[in-house]
Amino acid sequence: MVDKQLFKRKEFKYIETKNIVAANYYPVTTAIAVRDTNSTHKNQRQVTILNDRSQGGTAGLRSNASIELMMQRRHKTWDTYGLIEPLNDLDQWGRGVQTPASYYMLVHDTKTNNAKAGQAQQRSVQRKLEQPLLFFYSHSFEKIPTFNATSVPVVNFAQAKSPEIPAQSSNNNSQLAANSTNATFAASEANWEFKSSPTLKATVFGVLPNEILVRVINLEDRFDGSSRIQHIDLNTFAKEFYLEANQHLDQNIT
Amino acid sequence: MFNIRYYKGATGHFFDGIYELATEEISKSYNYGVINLKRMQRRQNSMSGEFILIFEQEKKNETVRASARISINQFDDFVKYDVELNAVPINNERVGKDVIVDWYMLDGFNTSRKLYVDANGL
Repeated sequence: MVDKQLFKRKEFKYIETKNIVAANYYPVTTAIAVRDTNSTHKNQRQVTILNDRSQGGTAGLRSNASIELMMQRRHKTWDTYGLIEPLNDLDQWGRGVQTPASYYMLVHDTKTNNAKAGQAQQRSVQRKLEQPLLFFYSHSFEKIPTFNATSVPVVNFAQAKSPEIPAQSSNNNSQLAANSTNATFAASEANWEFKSSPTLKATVFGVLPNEILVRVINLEDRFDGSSRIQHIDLNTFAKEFYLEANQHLDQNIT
Repeated sequence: MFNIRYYKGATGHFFDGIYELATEEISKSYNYGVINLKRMQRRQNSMSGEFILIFEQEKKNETVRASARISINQFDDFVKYDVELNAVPINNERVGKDVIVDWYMLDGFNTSRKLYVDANGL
């Protein structure tokens, strides 16, 4: 973290300006923090705000006790720089865009001897927030009893057996795939195995009622397999998937 | 104390826009809507709790609307703020609005004009 001071520059003399908000705004990549210097307080608290995107921010402009981050800007006029257009992002209906954002506030006391309370948890929280999506998959595709609402099976990831969980999605394609015998589920997407190749796994996402997105993963590529190249015959895949989702139909479909 | 506020864009010597952040000369921020206490919700579980603040204000045929879900639990070291702004109404403004999220520390917190950010440049 780099310390900054309001109305001051380390590298050159600060020149007074009427535009004091902009003069004291700094880029905040992931975190902004302030420390309490009030000598009458027994603790020396640090307040850290983590954001989920890079923003501009400052602290202390309001009575030396505030932190602020720029969340959204919308204007009607042009600032005389660049193209002649206002900063006015619109959605597909011509309305101003909606802006969702998440912030995480951490407070700790830098004076305490308590190791946990006295250390900034910023890095550990960042690691937790920015952790990539984790994959758990099955080595043995042995089936375990079907999930029911009264007894939730405990999944032992050391043994890595996938529980069969009913689909959460109302999407027709996901639901059909979920009800098939080979389908294993995570959240609202269907993980489906090819009959033609045991190491290929397809994840089916319902996009629209009549549209699906299929991601094919060769588990051998990712983990412990040989370097065999798996060829996918899209016609075979489409047929397999269709039959899987429509098991009551004629198997002789071409 | 958490709040959503905004700056009014400047005209005259500076112009607020894509490339320049220029607020009006008094550099004062205003409340972005008012918390609707009737629509505020809270939920308390054994190990977690959250409450939802709805910021609303209707002014000259325009409505400011925003929400903040503030949640805390026993397992994480942070308080989470999920903030969502609807379209920022600017028809009644001369230039526009620069909307900020703002935390104001009470009980005599004093930053001594110092802050820490994790961007090396500038």
